Amino acid sequence: MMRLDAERHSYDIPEYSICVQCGRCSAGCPVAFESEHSPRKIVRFLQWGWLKEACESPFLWLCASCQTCTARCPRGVDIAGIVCALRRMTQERGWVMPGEKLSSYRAFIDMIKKKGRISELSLGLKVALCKLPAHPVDDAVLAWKLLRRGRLK
Amino acid sequence: MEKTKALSKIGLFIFDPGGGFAQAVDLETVVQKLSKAKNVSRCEVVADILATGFLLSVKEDLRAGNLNRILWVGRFSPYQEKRIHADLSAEGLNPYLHEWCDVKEQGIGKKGLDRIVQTQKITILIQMAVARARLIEALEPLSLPAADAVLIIGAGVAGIHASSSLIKLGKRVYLIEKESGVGGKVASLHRLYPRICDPRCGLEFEIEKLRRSDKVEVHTLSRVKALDGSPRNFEVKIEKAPRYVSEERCNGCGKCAEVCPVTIPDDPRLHFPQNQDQSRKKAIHSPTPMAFSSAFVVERQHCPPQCRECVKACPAQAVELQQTPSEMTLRAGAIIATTGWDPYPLSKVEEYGYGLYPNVISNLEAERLLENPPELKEVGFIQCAGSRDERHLNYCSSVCCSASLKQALYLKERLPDSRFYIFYQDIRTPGFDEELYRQVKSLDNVIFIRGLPSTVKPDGENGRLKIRAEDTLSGKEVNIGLDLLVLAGGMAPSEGSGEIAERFNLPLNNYGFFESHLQCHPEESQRAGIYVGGACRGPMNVAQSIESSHRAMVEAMQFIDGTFLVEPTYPLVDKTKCDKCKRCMEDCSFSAYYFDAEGFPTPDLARCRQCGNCMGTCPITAISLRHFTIKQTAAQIQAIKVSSLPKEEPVILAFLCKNDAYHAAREAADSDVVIPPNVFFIKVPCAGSLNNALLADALSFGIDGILIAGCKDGQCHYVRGTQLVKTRSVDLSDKLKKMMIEPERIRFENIEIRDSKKYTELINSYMKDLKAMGPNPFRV
Repeated sequence: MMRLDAERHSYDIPEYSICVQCGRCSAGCPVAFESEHSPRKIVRFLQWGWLKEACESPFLWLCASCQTCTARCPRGVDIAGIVCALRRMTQERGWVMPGEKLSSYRAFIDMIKKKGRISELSLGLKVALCKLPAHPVDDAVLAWKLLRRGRLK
Repeated sequence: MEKTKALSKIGLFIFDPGGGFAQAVDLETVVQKLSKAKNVSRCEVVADILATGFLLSVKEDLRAGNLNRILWVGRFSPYQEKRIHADLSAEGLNPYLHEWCDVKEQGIGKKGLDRIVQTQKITILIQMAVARARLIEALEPLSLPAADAVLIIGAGVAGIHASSSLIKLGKRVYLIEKESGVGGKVASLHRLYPRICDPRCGLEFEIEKLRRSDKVEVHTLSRVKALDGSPRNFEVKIEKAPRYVSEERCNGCGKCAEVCPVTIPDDPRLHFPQNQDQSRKKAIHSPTPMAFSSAFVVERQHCPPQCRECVKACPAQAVELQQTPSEMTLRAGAIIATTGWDPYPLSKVEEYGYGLYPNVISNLEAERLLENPPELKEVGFIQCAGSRDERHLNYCSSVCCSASLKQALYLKERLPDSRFYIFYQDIRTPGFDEELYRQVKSLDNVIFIRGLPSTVKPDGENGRLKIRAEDTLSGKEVNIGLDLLVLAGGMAPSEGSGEIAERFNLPLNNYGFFESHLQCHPEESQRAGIYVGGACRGPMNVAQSIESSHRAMVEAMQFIDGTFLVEPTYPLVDKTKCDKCKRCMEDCSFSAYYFDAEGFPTPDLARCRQCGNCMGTCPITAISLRHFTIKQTAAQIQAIKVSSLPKEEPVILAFLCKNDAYHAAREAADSDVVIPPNVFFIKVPCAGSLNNALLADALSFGIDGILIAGCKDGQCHYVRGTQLVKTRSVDLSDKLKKMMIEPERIRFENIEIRDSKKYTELINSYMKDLKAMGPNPFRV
């Protein structure tokens, strides 16, 4: 679509025109039906040039980056990569889902920008603090369990 | 050649019905000038070319020896050309001693052009034709002896039908098959769509014709080992594996199989895992898939050592366990490869669990299921399994949608209480197969889901499968449990095809099927005398395979039966010049060159397509096409007297490929568009036939710009003519720079047959560029 071309290149959105909407991506996606949108639908929105609809979809933030979609695609469409690119786009454009604070995403990106690496303990704390006043205790218990098992460095 | 030139007596006739040329140009001056040209014995304007009086006078002159060749100037209808040829050949004039010069297609007579300019141009055009006419020679077609059989490789539906048609026409056939029986993949299907009929019915009908005929030899358990010889005279070495049963004595009674202690699995590609223990096939068994002769066959690798049960049981003493492989050489005029297809190995589509779960089967295996359907409650079909997928087969196999629908229709009738799920991304049922789709859609309990599953998972311990998909039409998630899953796999190139391609040096396309000129010549293999038919060309259904192999069969017929005619316009290698660099051999797209007894490259006239690329590529101009020799073209080029044309106007010499670019130029000339007058073109068999020497010559004679126009890449009738000539130009640029000539004075373009617009535009832009460049420094 003509409108979308400029954006595509500036945000490096991987090729989506070649998608034939076969649905294998949605079929393998662990979070496909947790929201009203599936990975196939997101690609469809892009084919129509409905950038805002795609970026405002809650699906973008449910994606676990498991890469099953990209692995299953018969046309080589990098759906996981598309989701990644769209996430960046929403951040930079300030298009945020109403009610969504994107705390974990922002915390992650900021830490990488500042330190070049992730300290899981600090990250966990930051995210927990952002979520105040809800669930700080649960998170603390989880953090302790992870630390004990050597899962937090 | 010199002798020819000295003895040439040309009759020059300008056909001007209605006086159109006389109006456009100063015909009197032209005639006067040309009458005085060397070797022109007679020159006049003729109003009615088929007038009895005129033709009589020409015949008299021929008889008296005043004329021995004729140059016809003007535009003639095909009828007129034929009449002239026929009339004058009665008087002994060889058809190749007529030269035709259509000045109209070069722009003479176009409205709005200056009379003087046109007069100059027509004079030059006719002088070019005279220069060529001086050097043409009488030629006779060559008649080569031919073997009188066709060898067909692969006795599937395509091979069987081609054979039965050939014998109907009284031709001889060798039919070679690697299995113990005939019928190929189609014989292993249970039912064919759309009639839902048994494929063996039609096959048996044709096979019976082959059995009854004395014109066909069918060799089973046979493979092609080597190919020698050339079209009309191939020598094919066949290796025959031992049957271990005498074909003469065995009458197929089956007593041997009754006592055989070893049961062997069915064909692993067709073997339905759940039916494993139902195999009734013994180590000694009747031929599979369909018997041509009834003689049984022993699969020795399964035999227990020292076991002789079958030998003992056979009442006709037909079992011969001491048989060994044998070899034979067959002579055939032409070969047809009908080596079919193999199912794509679905185990490669790992996510679908084929080979992992016994109740995931292929569509080919599902055919066995149709024979004897077990009790099934929920059956799923996944379309496009491993097809239209860049990780597997990157094309559509065109028959699997119809095949799955056929299977669903057939099975549903026999399993009325079952439920079917068909997962698809498109349902491709072209033409009348749409009816199949309608029939299945109208069934109860067949659910079409537009969305393909990602993974097939086992459903607990009970052996069932579970599948999840998005029904893209409703956007909803579906989770299905299945007893059986059929993967509609695609048709891949067969192992047999690969073998033949290697042995016979036949090019394959990107998908591994035989490369052919898909639209115009789908039966060709790019090797003269070797044709391909059926699914080894590409995925197709039974009817299409039969049609395809028939086309191959008809083409093959020109290479058998006594004699084979070769047009005399073939290439000749001048052995006194040739230094055996082999460039002609390398550039020939049809592998037509071979080394003769003295080691000189020689064209095999039965393989040669007479495209002239060898002539174009020879660095010492040692090769010429008869009737289109380097000397003849050089004479044409020399006859363009650039000095007689105003210096401000660049002169373009265009070489136009006769298949495409020439037609575009002609259309441009016949239309209203304005073409600069200083463009002279020469029609060539292929852009690749142009030799660098001619191009350098033309520039050294003062031509300002040369245009070489050939077919678009991928569309060349001779595979890669334009590519070859472009590559050669690199050699030429250096030479030109040494001659102080700008290499930009040679341009290459691809023009399609009706692209007169492109032709006009590029001539005009080239003229502009040449004007800016200034005249050729060699132009006086």
